[in-house]
Amino acid sequence: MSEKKIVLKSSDGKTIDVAKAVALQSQTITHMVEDSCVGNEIPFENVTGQVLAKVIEYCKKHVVVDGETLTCKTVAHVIHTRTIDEIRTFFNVENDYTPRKKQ
Amino acid sequence: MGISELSDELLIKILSFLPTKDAVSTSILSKQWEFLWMWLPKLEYTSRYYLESTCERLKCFLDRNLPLHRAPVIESFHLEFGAKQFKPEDIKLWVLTAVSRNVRELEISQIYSLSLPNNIFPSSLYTCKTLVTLKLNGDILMDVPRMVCLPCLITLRLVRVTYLNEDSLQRLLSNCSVLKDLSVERGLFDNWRKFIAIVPSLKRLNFRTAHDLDEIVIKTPSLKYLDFTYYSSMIHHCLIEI
Repeated sequence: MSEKKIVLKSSDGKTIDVAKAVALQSQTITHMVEDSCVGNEIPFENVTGQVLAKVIEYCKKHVVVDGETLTCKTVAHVIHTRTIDEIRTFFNVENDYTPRKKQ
Repeated sequence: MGISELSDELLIKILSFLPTKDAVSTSILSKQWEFLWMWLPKLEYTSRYYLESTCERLKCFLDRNLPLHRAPVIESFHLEFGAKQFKPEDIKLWVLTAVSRNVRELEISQIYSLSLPNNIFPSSLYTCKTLVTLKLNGDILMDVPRMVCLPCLITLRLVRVTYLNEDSLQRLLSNCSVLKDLSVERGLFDNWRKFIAIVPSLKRLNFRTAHDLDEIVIKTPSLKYLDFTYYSSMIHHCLIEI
């Protein structure tokens, strides 16, 4: 899986490359990505390069995305949004319960 | 590669990201899934149990399954309900099981109910060595035994709680040696006339009452944050040392 990178541009013209997963730890950046993405570059008109660097530093420390956790969360999401039958089909789970005989 | 090839440990991790109700329902997927949810350390039964019928089903479910829970430590047990359909004995038994499994966080909320307060706690709760967070909201009666000791309790929230004895709350607070965060909100029908909090470790205190007390004593030398709301014009004695 190739990492998507985005470029953040500060008010004083400095650019910082950062992996998308890292940048999206910040709510503010997430909103800006949604609102104003010019190619891959996101302008921060009110933030200097120094401050932006600090923000990214913080985001890097708080990335919770290890592959296993991400996979587990994704699977959990599938389970959460589907019926039992749909889950069985989606994940190819065979129902090996023997049906109860009616008494 | 199907999901059935994953280890039980990984499947349990997947379940840990689901609301308890969803995790439980996976037990009918196949035999492999039958008991996996019983290894979950966090159990939350909230916000759906306001109807008599759903409460009845939950009661049967918990009576049958909670004693069989396989996780050696129940990290958190959170029960929220709206009706007064659970008998005190029911809740007492569930709390007893959670305490016997070294519960760390216990949260019980009873919303939309105006009934006489019920004693829902086993005495073992008051000497639970592992309890870190206790949050109570509802018509709950606390019968604090003489030998109360909660050596790990850091966060305590008591909303609308009443006490069997006048000095119950004071005794409880005095035996929480590491308590940092206390939040107390009086209900409309409680019975207490005094609020005495002598807690050297306390850093945050929220206190709210809409009707009067005879006496307030707060001695909390480590306090950093205080939110004190007293909607009444009468107080006989008030001493606050922070």
